[in-house]
Amino acid sequence: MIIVTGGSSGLGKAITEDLRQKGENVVTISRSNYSEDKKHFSCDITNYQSLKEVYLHLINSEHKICALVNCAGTASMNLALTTPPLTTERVIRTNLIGTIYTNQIFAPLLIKNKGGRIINFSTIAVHLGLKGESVYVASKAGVEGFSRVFAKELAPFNITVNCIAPGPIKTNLLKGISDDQIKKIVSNQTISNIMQPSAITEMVSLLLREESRNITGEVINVGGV
Amino acid sequence: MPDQFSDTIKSLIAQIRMITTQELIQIIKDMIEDDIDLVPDSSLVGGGSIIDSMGLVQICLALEERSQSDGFSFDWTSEKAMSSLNSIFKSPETLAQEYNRQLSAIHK
Repeated sequence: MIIVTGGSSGLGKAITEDLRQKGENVVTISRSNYSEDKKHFSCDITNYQSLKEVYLHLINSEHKICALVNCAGTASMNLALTTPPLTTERVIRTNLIGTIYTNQIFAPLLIKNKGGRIINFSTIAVHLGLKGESVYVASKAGVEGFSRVFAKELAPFNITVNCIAPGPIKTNLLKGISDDQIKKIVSNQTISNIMQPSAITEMVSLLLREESRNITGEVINVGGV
Repeated sequence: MPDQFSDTIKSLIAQIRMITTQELIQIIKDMIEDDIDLVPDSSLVGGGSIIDSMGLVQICLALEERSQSDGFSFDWTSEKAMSSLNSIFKSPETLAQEYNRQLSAIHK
C-alpha cells in the first residue's frame, strides 16, 4: 500500500489516480473530507497527533506500507518584505514541518515492511532562486536538506528518500501567477516546456520501481536546471 | 465502590504487563543479532553505547509492537527521550521505567 499526502487535489490527486490506474493500493491523507473515498484519512499534516492516529490505524491494517509520497503543500508568491507573518508560518508549517512530521511518523511502517520509498516534493524554484518566492523556496529548501539527511538515516533499512522538484505545473498552487511569469520560469529550465502532471506521475512511478533502489538522497529537478 | 474495584483491577493489569529490565535486555539481544554484553545500566545512546542508531530504532519498534498488545502505543519521541541527562535511552533500566510509566498512565 502507498500513502499519498495531499492526495485529494492538484498533483497529489493526479499521482493517486495514476497509481490506482496502475493497480496500486493507495491511501490518501488530506484536510478535505473526501467522503466518497474509503481509503482516505481526513487529517492536517501539521497536526502531529492527528498523523499519529492515522499511523496507529495503518499499523493495525492488514496491508503493508511500501511507499510514502508527500504531496501536501501550500504556496505563497510574495516578495519577502511584503509577506505577512501568518503566511510565513503557514507556508513553513505546512511544507517543511508537515513533511518532516509525515516522514517521521510513517517511516516506521516502511521499516516494518523491511524497505520502501519516500518521495518528498520540492520545487525547481529552489535551484533557480526565483524572485517573489523566498518563503516558499525556504520551506522547500528545508525539505531538500531534510530528505538528504533522512536518506542517510534510513539507508540501513533499505528505504530510499528522494525529492521531486517540479517546475510550473497547471494546478491550484499556481493561482495568482500570470502566464507571462510562468513562461519566464519555464525558460530557465533545461527543457523549456510547461510540464503536464503526467511528467510528475511518471517520475513518481520511476522512483517507486525496484530498479530505483540505489537512487537516494537526490533532488530531481523535472525539466532540468 | 465499583469505581474503586475497577481502578484496582486496572492497576493490577498494568502491574502484570509491566516489563522488567531483564525482559527488555532480552528484547534488545533478540533484536541485535551480535552477541553483546548488556547489563541494566549499559548505555544505549552516546559514545559509550554498544548499539548503533539503527539498533535503537529497532528497539523502539519492538517496544511499540509489545505496547500494542498491552493496550497502548509506546511513544519514544518525547522531549525527555532527547534529554542528555534524563534520556529514556540512557540504559535498559531507564527505558523499561519509561515503558512502565506510559503503561501505568494508560491504565489509571
